[in-house]
Amino acid sequence: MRWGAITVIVAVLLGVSGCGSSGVTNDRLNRAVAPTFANLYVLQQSLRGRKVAAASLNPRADCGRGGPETADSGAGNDWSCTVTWFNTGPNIAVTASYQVHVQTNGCYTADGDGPADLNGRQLITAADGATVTNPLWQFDGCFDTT
Amino acid sequence: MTAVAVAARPAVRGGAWVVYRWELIKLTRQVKAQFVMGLCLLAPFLFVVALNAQSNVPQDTLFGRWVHDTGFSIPLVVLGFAGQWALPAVTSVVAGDIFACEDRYGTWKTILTRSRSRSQIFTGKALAAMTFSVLTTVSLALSSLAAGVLLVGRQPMIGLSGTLLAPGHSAVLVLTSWATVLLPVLGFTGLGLLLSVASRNSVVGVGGPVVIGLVMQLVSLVNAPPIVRMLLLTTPFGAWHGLFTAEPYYGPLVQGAVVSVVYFAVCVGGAYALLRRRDVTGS
Repeated sequence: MRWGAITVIVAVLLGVSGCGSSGVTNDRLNRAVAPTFANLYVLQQSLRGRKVAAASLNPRADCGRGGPETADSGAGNDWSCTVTWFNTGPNIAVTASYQVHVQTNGCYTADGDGPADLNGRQLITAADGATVTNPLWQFDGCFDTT
Repeated sequence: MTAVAVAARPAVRGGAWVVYRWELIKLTRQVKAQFVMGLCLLAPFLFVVALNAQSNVPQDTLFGRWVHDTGFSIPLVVLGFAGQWALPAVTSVVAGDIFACEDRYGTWKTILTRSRSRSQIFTGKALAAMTFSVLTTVSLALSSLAAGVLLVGRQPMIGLSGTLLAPGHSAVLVLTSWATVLLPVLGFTGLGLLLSVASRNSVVGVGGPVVIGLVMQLVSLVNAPPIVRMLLLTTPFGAWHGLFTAEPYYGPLVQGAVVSVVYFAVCVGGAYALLRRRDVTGS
């Protein structure tokens, strides 16, 4: 009797939460990666001595997982993102690629996958000649999975 | 006749407080409690010294790639490690033993024939275990923040949305993050108390919460419906991530607080019920 009740409660909870669905979706990842990339891009450019306003970048991220057969949801290290932003004028779009490892807790690590000058090197030379960590080489972020 | 007299005797008021103070005095004399507290105070400094001696960084932990760039990353890296197994282990060292040690030494009959009721003894012991858990967590937090600030520096930190966080703001966020893990830590304290009472065995009481915590960690790594992650007591240890984004999110914190309180209430309630009904005359 008691076990029956527990089974029913668990089944209802699983049903309510949408069994099989995951808190990690490509929509949530897109919305997390784009602004994070933009902020770090502004930081990298200021290290290189160039002033960029985050507001003018209009960043967009398009993230997908594995091949075309794999659903674009769930944690895994086979995510990849293409970030598009507008650099010098409203009509010139620039893109960068990232390999992304997303964890079940909604935190991800993006690893730069080109262009090399932007995110291919761990260390870059700052405007003052110092060697500093390239903020766009790899970066971490988190998003809400609840 | 004697048994009736003992049962009818009214418990002394304020007895739980006496038990609590006495348990705390016992804890300060215990080598294992002293050792764990010392470890919480010293380990972060040793960790930073080891990090500073090499150029590698613990990249697979959040904020790990910034350990040479800002001292505020240190307490967060420590928090990431600690939430995986160290905090459940630290808290259950005392909680898992505080009832079972009376079984080991065969001292239940001695303490239950004093003028303290069972509920007073339970309250005093449970509060002592909770105090130890809170004190060790706070020590680890302050010591890792101090180690980071003193040995690395108070540079601005890059948050989880790529924005720079000023030193003062970073310090507040670090301390808030550590404060949020107090609830799941107390949840594990409750688990330790329950296993300590139920098993009457210190090995189960101390090791049980650690093993359960590790199993929960493994389950949380699997792609599962959100409800499964939500029900694990280890998930609240990561709820602080939302504080470090440009638009902070608090859903995991609220969920984690509710889950931790439920675990704590069920475990401590269960432990109390078991102790109330236990027949100690035969043991």
